[in-house]
Amino acid sequence: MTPAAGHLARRVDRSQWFGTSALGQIELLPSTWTPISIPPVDAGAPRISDCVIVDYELGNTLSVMHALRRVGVAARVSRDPADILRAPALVLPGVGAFAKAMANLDRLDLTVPLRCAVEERRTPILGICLGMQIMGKSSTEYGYHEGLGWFDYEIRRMEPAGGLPVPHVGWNSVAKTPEAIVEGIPEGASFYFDHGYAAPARRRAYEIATCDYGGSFVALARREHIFAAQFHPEKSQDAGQKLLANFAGIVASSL
Amino acid sequence: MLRKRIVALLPLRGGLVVQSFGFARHLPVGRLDIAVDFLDEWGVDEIVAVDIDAGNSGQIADLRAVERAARKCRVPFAVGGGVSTVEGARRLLASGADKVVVRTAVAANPAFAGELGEHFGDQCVVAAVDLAPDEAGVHRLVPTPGSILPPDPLAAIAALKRSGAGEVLLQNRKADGSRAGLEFPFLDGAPDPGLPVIVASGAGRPEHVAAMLRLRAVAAVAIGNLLSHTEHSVTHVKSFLRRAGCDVRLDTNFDYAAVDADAAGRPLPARPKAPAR
Repeated sequence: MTPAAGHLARRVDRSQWFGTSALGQIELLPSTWTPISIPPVDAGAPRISDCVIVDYELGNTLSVMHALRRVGVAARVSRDPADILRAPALVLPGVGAFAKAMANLDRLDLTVPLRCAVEERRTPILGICLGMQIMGKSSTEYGYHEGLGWFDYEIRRMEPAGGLPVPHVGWNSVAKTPEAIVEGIPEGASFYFDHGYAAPARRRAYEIATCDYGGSFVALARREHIFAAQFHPEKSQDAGQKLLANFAGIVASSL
Repeated sequence: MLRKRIVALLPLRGGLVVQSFGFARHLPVGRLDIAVDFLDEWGVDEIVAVDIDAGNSGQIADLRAVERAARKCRVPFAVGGGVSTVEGARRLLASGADKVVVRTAVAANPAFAGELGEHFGDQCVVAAVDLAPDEAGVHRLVPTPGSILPPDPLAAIAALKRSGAGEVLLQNRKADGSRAGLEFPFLDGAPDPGLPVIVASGAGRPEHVAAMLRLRAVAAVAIGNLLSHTEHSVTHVKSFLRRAGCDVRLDTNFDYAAVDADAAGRPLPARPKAPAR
């Protein structure tokens, strides 16, 4: 239990910090009382100059931007190839269908700058949900489609055992291995998932965290400077905020 | 394990969050962004805000209020009110909503849910349905203008799933604001509907929420009034649910596990310690 919790959950012994003045009025005696302070989750998060959220017309870019700004990252949304090439860090969000995501990247002339930035300049990147999926090898969502190929996972329709409903919507806990990106996130913490397709877990080295929903799938993957989350850190409250802060920290330390 | 969700339901009128009684009378609670900020800090799993004026006026929910609230919201944020076009939904999403709640337009044209799904993904389409018991006490859909949904709630849920809705939000017009408990007898023993069903209206005590969460067909319970008038209300409710054996997320850094609560979920003073020997 944190000190804050102790304060909130315990009956407060008022004799410690209330006294009665000569006039019989209650007054505060602050000398013996330290106000509680709950440190914000983002305390001490390193600031990075600029993080570009790739806008390819398929993503909750605003939510991601607000979430990154909360952890001290100067994030902005852009679809300008020059911004993507220059950015010290990238976030590839995504909500929607796989084929449309790949088609939009092509149509907006973003595939080449994205590959240049990540494969040659080695810009740190975080893919979220559909952004994570298109970093894989392929998907069977509405036909067979190839992804960016940064991971070798294959995205398939979820077929959870026990007839669980698909899509998988809600808060689920993950099994994680110790890595900088998940540092400080308590064991058993939940993240918000919202997806009908997933990469089945295959015990690859890049699988940092897996999630169980009638079968195990990749929740978080990492290959060098490439990070990919199936859940939505921007919508996962404290645990998600910590993950974004860790990503910012990794970026800052690699600059 | 996928956890069951506790959703905060915030009806909006005249740009303010209100407390609703039977969908007929309303009491102001306060600003949307402040409510969202607090509920998020207290560990709610999701927030649904519905502009109840919008349905009548045809006007979309107050976009600036949505934008201000979305900045504060670290959990999924569903917004609705008067959405009848893809463009209307796009404007809400562009203001920071994560999901769109649709009711009248989908009841009149269930294919609209699929159309929204094609543009934004079905995960962001929440189809809302209002129910009320008829004279025989059987729960039926409250008819909306031009509704072609079957009056039987389970058939309506199946129809909405077929048409491409991602989630269904069930509200009970009779129980709304009653604090007497949620009333969805047809969900008792119902099979898994194949999409997440959120039930709302009538939660007055944490036990009412627990009773619903034990049903297989219920993925989430949306609560309005119960969360509006107590500090840390969400944590208290979830702490109760945990003790009652419901698997809900409780990640806040304090959990009131050692605190007894009164019937309204407010904390009772701690028990005095046994005297030292």
